[in-house]
Amino acid sequence: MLEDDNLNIAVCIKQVLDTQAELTLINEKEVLLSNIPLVINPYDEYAIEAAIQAKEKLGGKVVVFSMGSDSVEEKLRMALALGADEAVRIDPPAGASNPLNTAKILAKALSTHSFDIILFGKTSVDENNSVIPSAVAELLKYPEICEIIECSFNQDSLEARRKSASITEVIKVNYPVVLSVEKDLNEPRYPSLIMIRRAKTKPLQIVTVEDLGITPDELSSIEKKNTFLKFVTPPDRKSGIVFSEGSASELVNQLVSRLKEDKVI
Amino acid sequence: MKPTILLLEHENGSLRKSAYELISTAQQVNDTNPIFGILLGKQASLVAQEAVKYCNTVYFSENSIFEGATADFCSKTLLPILNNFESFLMITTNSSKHGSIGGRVAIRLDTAYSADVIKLEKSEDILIVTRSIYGNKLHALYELKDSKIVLSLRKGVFDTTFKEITTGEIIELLEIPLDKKKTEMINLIEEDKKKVDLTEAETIVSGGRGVGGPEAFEMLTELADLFGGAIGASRAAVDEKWVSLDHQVGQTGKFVAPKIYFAIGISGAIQHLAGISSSDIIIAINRDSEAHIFKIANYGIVGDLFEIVPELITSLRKELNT
Repeated sequence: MLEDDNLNIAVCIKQVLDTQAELTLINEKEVLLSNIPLVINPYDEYAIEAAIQAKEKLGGKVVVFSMGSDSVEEKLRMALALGADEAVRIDPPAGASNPLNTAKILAKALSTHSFDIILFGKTSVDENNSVIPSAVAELLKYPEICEIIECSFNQDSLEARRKSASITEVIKVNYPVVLSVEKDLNEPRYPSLIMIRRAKTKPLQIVTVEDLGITPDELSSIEKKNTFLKFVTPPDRKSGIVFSEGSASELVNQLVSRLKEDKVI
Repeated sequence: MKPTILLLEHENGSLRKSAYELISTAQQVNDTNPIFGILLGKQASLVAQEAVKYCNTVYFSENSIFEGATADFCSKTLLPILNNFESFLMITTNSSKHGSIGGRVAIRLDTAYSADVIKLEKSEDILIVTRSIYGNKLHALYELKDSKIVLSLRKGVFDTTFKEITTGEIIELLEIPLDKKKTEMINLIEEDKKKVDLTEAETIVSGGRGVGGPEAFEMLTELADLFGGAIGASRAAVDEKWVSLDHQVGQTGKFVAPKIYFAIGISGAIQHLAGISSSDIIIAINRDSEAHIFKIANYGIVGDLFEIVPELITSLRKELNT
């Protein structure tokens, strides 16, 4: 157990498809996933860095969580190499894909420790739900500050900045708190070779939803209310007219007269 | 009969464009059912006078505690009201705060939920929602079936055609759970009020690596100002720190849907295209005729942007003044 004055910090990360990848449908319900590289959700890298910085400043422990298949362990080891102390992989239950279920499972896993700070990336670039930080916070009865762009961690509280339309809000909160982070919060470090080696011996625990005491019924009710029907490919944008012959003013004239014809201006 | 409950965004005493998108959607999808609008924060009573033209009932509170209040406090304020309904369709915009409030309500009341919806269809008592996923490489359709449903809508993709009604009433929320506030607002810094929000802008002028430095953004701002538009940027320009992150358009920035999108010195990486594909018209200016952006632009000019853009400003200034 940790000393009382040490911070207990959690980071939740997700493995996502590389944003460069082109996607193909196998059928209307399945995407061809083989050969697409999986990476740590870009926003989560800032969450990991923030957790490590908080630990470096105030002492304590960082535990990194992710729900996903075996291949997630490589991403968790990366977080350990960056400075996290422990990792937990939650084996995903079959047929539970709703983000609210993910939130339920994560909240259950997080509730077994009493974390002062729980960090998330502001959204995952694959499904773009952005709901998991708030839903986890609601289940744990934590306040949350979302999309933070600056943060200073203190012993019992933190002060964070976030943007809301044209207003920047500076908010103070006593722990515990859930944070979701924007991308320029910090500059994520690279792991050193020594740390990569050390990460191999750090604890990585695998838990199932059964271990967490969640019954399939608890998850199926949400899935029944929200059923996935199919994927469709968004309509393609066709290439239009490209002006490439003439002086700058001739090119501009050609464009402007087309815009007038189209009643754009 | 399922009432629609809208959490409406407002600023400087007016409804924001996103609020009109919610109102239009509610009127179209749930036309015969009553619409309830909710307004929290500064000048909410003034905004309520506007909102009541389109909603049967408007709840508001302009208690200053809502300034800088986080989602946990706002959802605690709303839950007692929502608990009065046996069934509802609650719609928020997908902004970070309102999206979070909706998410909290959904998991607390165990409702069907879908975030960042780009299309909404109704047949009988079933809602079909479309979400844009994997950086808009795919759309996914879901069927929502529940007495209570919470949705958030992606900003800028829904139209704003709505009708006025005449029978609305305004109710002030008086029971604010003041003791439940766990966060403390230290400071609110207001930025330039003229600055146009990217997700609401009708015209966006974006610069990429090709503009070569922060100086060029002055020229782009001049172009944007002709339309009352906003400045966007590709990830390359943001990573170079030529402009701040809140200008970034794309998969790790903002998804935008303006009427006119100028892509200037932007080659068109797949992550950038993801963010702009809902634009009505894309106009690309790039010196590389092979640039990917030309494959999706409605109009393109191949040339030196430092010659083209000043010409374009002069020409448009003439056109837009006449």
